[in-house]
Amino acid sequence: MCSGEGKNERYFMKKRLTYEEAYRELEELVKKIEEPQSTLTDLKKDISRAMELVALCKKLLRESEAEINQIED
Amino acid sequence: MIRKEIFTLTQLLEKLQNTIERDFADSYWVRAEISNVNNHYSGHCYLELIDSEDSEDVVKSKIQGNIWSSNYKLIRPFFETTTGYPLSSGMKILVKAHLQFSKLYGLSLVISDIDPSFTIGEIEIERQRVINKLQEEGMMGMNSTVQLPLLPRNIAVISTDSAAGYGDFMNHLHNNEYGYKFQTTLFKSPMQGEGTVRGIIDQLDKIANSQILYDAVIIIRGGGSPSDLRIFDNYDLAVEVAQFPLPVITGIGHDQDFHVIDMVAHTWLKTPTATADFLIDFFIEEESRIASLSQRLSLSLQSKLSNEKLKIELLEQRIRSNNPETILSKGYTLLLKEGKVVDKLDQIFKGDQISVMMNKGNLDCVVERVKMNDTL
Repeated sequence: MCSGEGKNERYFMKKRLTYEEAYRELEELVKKIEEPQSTLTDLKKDISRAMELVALCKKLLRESEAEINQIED
Repeated sequence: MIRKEIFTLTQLLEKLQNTIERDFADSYWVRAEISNVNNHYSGHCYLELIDSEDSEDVVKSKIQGNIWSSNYKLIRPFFETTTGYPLSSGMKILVKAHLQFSKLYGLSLVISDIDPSFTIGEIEIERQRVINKLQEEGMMGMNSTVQLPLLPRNIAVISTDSAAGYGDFMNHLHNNEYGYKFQTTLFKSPMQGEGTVRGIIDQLDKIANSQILYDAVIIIRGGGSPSDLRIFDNYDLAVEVAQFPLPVITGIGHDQDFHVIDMVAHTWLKTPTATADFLIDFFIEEESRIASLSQRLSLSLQSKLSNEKLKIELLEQRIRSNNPETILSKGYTLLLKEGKVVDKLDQIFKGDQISVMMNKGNLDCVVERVKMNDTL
C-alpha cells in the first residue's frame, strides 16, 4: 500500500493529473479515511495525500475559471 | 378577232389607284407587328409592318407604314410616355391608318394614330406567356434548390462597371461597417439594349466553366426605363438562370420593378444596395449566433464549476472531520492499541500495553483494570 502510494506520488510529480483523475483518487481516499479499521499511520498518510489532492483540484478549478473568463472576453 | 385593250403601266396603276381611293377611302384600325423602324431625319417615321399572328416564324402579310412628321411629332411622345417604350421591332401595335397607293412607291399604310394601351396589353400578354411557359417547364423554384453557402464570400458579379447600381453595390458591400471581407469578381456584360441577353448568358457560361468555385452569382443594375428593363423578362435568359448550377441572386432596378428573371432566381432583391445587405446579413446572423453560443457555453461551464467546487468542499469537510488532530485539539484523547484506534472497551484487557494520544504527545500505559459502566 505504502509503495503503491509512493508510485502514485511520483506519477503525480511527473505527469500532472487531470482533474477527473485527481477527483477519483480523492473520493476513494475519503471513503478509505472514513473506514474505522485503518491504522493511524495509514490515516495520517491518507489525510495528507487527500489534502494535497484537494489543493490540486481547487487549483485546476481556478485555472478552468480563468480560461472561461478568457472565453467571455 | 378580239381586239386587245392595251394600257400603259401608268394607266393601269392609275386604275388601281382610283379603285383603292374609291373603295378604301376610310381609315381602319389595324393590328400588326413592327419588324423594322426607321426614324428618318426628315421627321417622318417609316415602319415595316408584318402579320405573323398564327405562327411566330412565318410572315403572312407585310406592308410599309408611314407616319408623316406632322403626325409623328404628336404620336411619338404620347406613345412613349404612355407605354414607356419607343416604337421598336418586335412590338405589337394597333394603328389607325388608310391605304395609299403610289404609282412609284406602291402600296402603303398612312398612319394617323397609334393606340398605346393595346401595346401595353400586348407586352403584358407576352410577359405572361413567358411566365406560363417557365412554370410548365418547372423552371420556377429550380435555382432556389441550389444550396447557398452559410457564409457567401466569393461572389461573381455580372454588371457593367459604369452602371450606377454596380458602384452602389460594391461600395455598400466592401465598406460595410462590420468589417466583413468579401471577394468579388466582375464579369462585364452590357446591361441595356441589344446584346444584353446574349452578354449575360455568355458571362454565366464563363462563370460556370471557371476554375474558381464561386459561392453565388449576382446580377445587378440600377433602375431604368421599362424598355431598358424589359430584357429581364426574356425567356432564354430566365431558362439559363433557372438551370444555373450556382445560386443566382438578382438586384435589378428600383423598388417597384419585378422581372421574370427575379421569379426564377435563387433570391431576388429590390436594389443593388439591398443585394449587398443580403450578403452582409449572413455574417451578422452567424456572428450573433456564435456570441449566444459562447454565452451559453460560459454559463454552463460556470455552473459546472460551482458544482465541482461544492463537491470538493464537501470531501474536504469529510477529511477534516475524520482527522484525529481535529479531535485532539479539542482536548479529547484517542486510545491506541497496537497502533490502531480502540473505540470499544471489550477490546482491552488487563495487562494490555496501550497508548493514550493527546494533543501534543502520547502516554504509554499498562491496563490495571477494565471496568464497564453498569448503566450503559
